[in-house]
Amino acid sequence: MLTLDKLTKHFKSVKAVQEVSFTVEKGELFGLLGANGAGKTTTLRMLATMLTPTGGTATIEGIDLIKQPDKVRNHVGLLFGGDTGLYERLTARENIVYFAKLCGKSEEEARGRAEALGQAFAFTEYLDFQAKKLSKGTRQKVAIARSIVHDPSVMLFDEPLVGLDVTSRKDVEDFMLMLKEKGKTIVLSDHNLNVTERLCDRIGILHKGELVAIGTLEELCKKHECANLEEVFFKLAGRDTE
Amino acid sequence: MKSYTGIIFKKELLDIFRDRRSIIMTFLLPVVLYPLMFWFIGSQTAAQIEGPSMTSIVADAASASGLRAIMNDPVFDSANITVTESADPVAALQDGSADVAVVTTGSHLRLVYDPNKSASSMSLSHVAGLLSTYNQAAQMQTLSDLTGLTLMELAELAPVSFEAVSLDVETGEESSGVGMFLSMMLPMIMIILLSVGGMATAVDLFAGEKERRTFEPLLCTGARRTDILAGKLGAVTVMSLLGALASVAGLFAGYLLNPRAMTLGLDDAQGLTLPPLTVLFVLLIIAAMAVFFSGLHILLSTYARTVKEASTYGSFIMIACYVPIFATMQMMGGDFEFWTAFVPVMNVTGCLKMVLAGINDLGYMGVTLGVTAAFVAVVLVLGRYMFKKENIMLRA
Repeated sequence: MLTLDKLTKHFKSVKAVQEVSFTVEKGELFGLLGANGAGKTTTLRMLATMLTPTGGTATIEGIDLIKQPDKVRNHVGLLFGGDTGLYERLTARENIVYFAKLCGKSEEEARGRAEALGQAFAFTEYLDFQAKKLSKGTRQKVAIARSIVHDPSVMLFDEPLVGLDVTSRKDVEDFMLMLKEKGKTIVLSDHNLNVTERLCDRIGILHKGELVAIGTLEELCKKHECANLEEVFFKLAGRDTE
Repeated sequence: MKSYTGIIFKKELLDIFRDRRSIIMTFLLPVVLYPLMFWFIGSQTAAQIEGPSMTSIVADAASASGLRAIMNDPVFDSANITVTESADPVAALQDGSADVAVVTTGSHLRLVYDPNKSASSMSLSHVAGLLSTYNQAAQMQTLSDLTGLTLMELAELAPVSFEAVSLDVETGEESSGVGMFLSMMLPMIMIILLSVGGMATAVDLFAGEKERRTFEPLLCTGARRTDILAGKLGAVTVMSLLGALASVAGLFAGYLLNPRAMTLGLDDAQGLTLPPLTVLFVLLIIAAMAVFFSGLHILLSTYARTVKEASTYGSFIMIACYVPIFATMQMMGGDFEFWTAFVPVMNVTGCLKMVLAGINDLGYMGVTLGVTAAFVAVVLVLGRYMFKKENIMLRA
């Protein structure tokens, strides 16, 4: 479970995130919607302990991320879209094993996890290929495997579908749904309205660092008297999205 | 809490050693290029010092026969000078068929040479030197004939009689040190290589990671930022030291190829015996210097947004390092005053020059080690501070 309590981040005079509060339950896929610069990535970076909040806090599985960031990291997995952030000269296996070890796994456990994840995502035959020689889709699968190598209970997805072809997009979407079925807590940050509408149980809309709406799709449409998420989004965030 | 430094260090080395360009630039080029470079330059310089093996003089009709007669004098024995006659000696010099042209003006000889050709310049020095010796000997003989004094008695008429003697000859102590040229060049090469060796690795491991967006997943693992910094610093330092080692191996290979090439033919590399404590100090100082340069490159690469930006900053470091290196280039081991031990980079140059000159000043070395270690500490503290600054680590 994930709880944000007035989570705030200011970069000097820029109020990137302003007192954002919401809770994501176990087995829930929560969509964080917003235009570029709305504060989505900053929120996820705070949840992943890469950034320290300037106000408020958040707890992950009951652990306060300001007080115990090291412990929080054991429960969080983070997947970025676009560049997969793999080490090009290392093989897929070495990439996964490296991150497994950095998450506290022994050499044997790490190798076992790499093998199991290779089978789960159907890239076993590419495990010993250098990352630079892999297709974009396989690279994304390896990046996914790396992000869950320590079996986190909370998964954060930051625009994971950027730059992917149709097949790879489907793989990532299926992966998120699979995690949901397994009871993981998931936060999906995206500005793709269709994906958010289709996959997420609840949606939060961020605008200029503030959470301006939260609820299920039906609740949002009803509350703001709109026919779909797109209408809700433009009504709340307007066209002034930068 | 568990430290992940070792895991990060091993991974970085694995990653670096898979990069063929780094391996070629850091290890293969010094091992192959340095022997060739020193052999080539050494051969050229040695030839200049030893003088030309054969000198061709073209003289006009007025001086040719006279010169040929002079060449029979014992002074010119084994000088390998040939004199040929030409109506236009300058034209022969211009077309390259002669090294020196001799033109007669009354009783005066004009030795014409081509300053743009090393063979012509060397031949001029050679011929002019021999002619001076010949003139002096002839003058002394004439004086002897006129005065009835012996040549020995005439030599005693010089107001100041002197000879140059080195200290080790004077004191009867065994000569130590590796010669002037090596003591000038080796410290300079070593420090430049230490400053450059880890640069490419630092740029790749910090600015490169930012650019490739591999830093962000790394920051989300269980590894603390100090673990990441320490692991990467270790890898950069290893590359810096290995780069310097490869270059020294290249120099040694050059020595095996041709011992005189290593000193560029200027002097002979004599034996160098160092006490174990001095060796230990030197190794520690070199290691500390490698960590210092690695730390500096890491600071700048961490601050930079891109590889290009980091490379530009790295160039500044190198230029800054060259100032104390070149400022002390002409200094010998015994020239370094104690205050220089407090100036970073200059003090390491001083230590290496002293050691190569056979001077074991442990006090100077101790201060150098302490000062270098202090600068390493400053760099590490700054690095730790920067690694904790979000606006630096995540700026892109």
